[in-house]
Amino acid sequence: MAHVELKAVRKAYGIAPVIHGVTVDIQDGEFMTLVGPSGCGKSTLLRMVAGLEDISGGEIRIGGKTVNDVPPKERDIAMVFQNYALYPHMTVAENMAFSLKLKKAPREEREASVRRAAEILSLTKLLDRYPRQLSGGQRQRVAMGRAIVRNPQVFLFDEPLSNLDAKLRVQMRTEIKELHQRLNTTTIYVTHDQVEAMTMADKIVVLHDGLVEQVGAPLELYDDPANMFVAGFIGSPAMNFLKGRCEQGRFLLENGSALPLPSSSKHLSCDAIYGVRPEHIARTDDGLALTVVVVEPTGAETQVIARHGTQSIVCIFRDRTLPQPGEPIRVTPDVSRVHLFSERDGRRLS
Amino acid sequence: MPASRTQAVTDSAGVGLIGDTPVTQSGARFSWTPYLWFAPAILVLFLVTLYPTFFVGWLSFQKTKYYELTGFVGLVNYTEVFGSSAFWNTVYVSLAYVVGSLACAVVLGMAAALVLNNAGATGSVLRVFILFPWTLSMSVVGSIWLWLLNPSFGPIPYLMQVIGLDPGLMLGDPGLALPLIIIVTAWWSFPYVMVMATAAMQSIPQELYEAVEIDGGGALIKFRYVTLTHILPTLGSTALTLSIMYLTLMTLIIVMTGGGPLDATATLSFEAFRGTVQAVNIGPTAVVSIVVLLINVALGVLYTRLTGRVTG
Repeated sequence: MAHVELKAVRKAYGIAPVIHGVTVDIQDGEFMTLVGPSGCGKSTLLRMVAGLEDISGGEIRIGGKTVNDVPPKERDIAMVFQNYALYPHMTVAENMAFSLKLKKAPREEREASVRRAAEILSLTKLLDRYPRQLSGGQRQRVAMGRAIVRNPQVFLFDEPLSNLDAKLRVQMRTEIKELHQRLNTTTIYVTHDQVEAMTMADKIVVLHDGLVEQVGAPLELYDDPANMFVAGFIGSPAMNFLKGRCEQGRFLLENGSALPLPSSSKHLSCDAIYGVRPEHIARTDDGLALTVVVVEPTGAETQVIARHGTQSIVCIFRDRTLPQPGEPIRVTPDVSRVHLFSERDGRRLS
Repeated sequence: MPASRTQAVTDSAGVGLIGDTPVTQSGARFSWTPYLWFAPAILVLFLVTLYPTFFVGWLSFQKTKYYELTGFVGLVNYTEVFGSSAFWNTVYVSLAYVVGSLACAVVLGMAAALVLNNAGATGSVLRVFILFPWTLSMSVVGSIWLWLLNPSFGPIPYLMQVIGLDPGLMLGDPGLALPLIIIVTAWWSFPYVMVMATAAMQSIPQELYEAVEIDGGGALIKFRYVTLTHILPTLGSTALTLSIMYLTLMTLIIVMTGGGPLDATATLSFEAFRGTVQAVNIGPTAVVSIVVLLINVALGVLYTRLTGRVTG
């Protein structure tokens, strides 16, 4: 277990900068998720922590020690790769014991470590199999076993669930979280899936174009997004954004329809973006008039994609009286959960 | 439609099982058309491969005089060939030639592949140049090296003299001729090993090397546990293909040494060629050909099994 610090970490390939000074503090035993869209630099950042990529600027400290120029094997980390990277000609047991073998650990110690990890991950019956004889989920578990055996200070996960099917992903998500609760090892987990980030992390770092957009606990990001990017990225389906103007304590859409403003924003008078999550919209008798386009019942709730003028608005309703496509409905946002964003730079105003 | 097809299949299977197959029904399922489509290929295969093979087999039991059959002699040719020390010397030369050339070509090819694989764009350019010997006709390769190794005016003996070595007769030296032919064969064929090894290396996932780095291994561990294990099946089948080729190869020998000096470079294939051209008695020569054939069939079976294991 260790405290990991990233201080103004930068990365450039030639003259092209990809990470522009990231500063993050990961506490001892914390589960930190790096989340962001493809190409935002999250995997590069993780590989820099692992020592697989050079650092162009800044400082990375693991357990109080600067590791900028320390080779991966001396950083006391273990990494789980997206494609598992299991050695194909070695059995599960040999794969898991390989790092200890390279350390020249005695056979008894190797076997004991492998047995312990296999028990934790229910791999005991698979120890003699080869990776090609395993399913995706089992391979994933072996990759985790290989990491556990090393008993590292930090676990690094690089999109480890993206090759699994939806059901297995949910199952493995729980397993990884459970493993973390059990071992309490500092973990850095990279994913592009915000649901994965929300459900697993103690702390989320949202990255966008090599910059940190916001750092915080999952619900903090959901309830108080710092800007439009985080507001749109965290939460599924994404937040609705409506363009308009704050005027006289109301929000006027471009076609003149009015929406209520939270009390903290009633004093504003400027162009802005009105952000409301689909689950914070309720059907009412009066309110904003919408025309239903598509109705998607999922059982627990129903997602309705509706239109107000040219603007598409997604709503989630929990009641069972489903509107029909083409039907006019009226909705009102939960004003206490509404966010206002600056039209200029996307920062949150309220 | 699918229902009726299922029905038809079930019916015929049922009929077949109880052994009461009506001629019309089984006749309806049998068609000559596929065999007709196969016929040209089978005919070509028979004419160019099977017929000559069987003919050589038949010849090995005959006595001939200048291409004229003089009668069936049973196993006499076989006892004559297997009883002669010259034959066993030829077998030894063949094996030394195949094993020596293979060892040199594989080591050189692997080394070239490893170095150039890590050399980026320069590697790609160099690879094209290194491929050059493989594209040359073997008689051209033989002529180039005849000149390079010529003891009177060749550059290699000259350089040897400059650094104080006695070049001797080079290809004319019975102790040196075979090693030199092996070097030339390896020079000509190592690019093939390089290409195959490079192709296999480029299919190795980069993450495996990174996993080794994190697990604490250096360059040697990466080579031993990732590169080598990954390319070994490809290398194995490449080595087998080359062995089969070396065993039947004789152009270089004809051009460079003519089997000499003192039969020091006379391989089995060269012996079969020489015997056929001289044609005093083709029977024993046919026996030598059969030996080459059997070794190659054995290597071929090994090759098929190896590639079968790799692909399936």
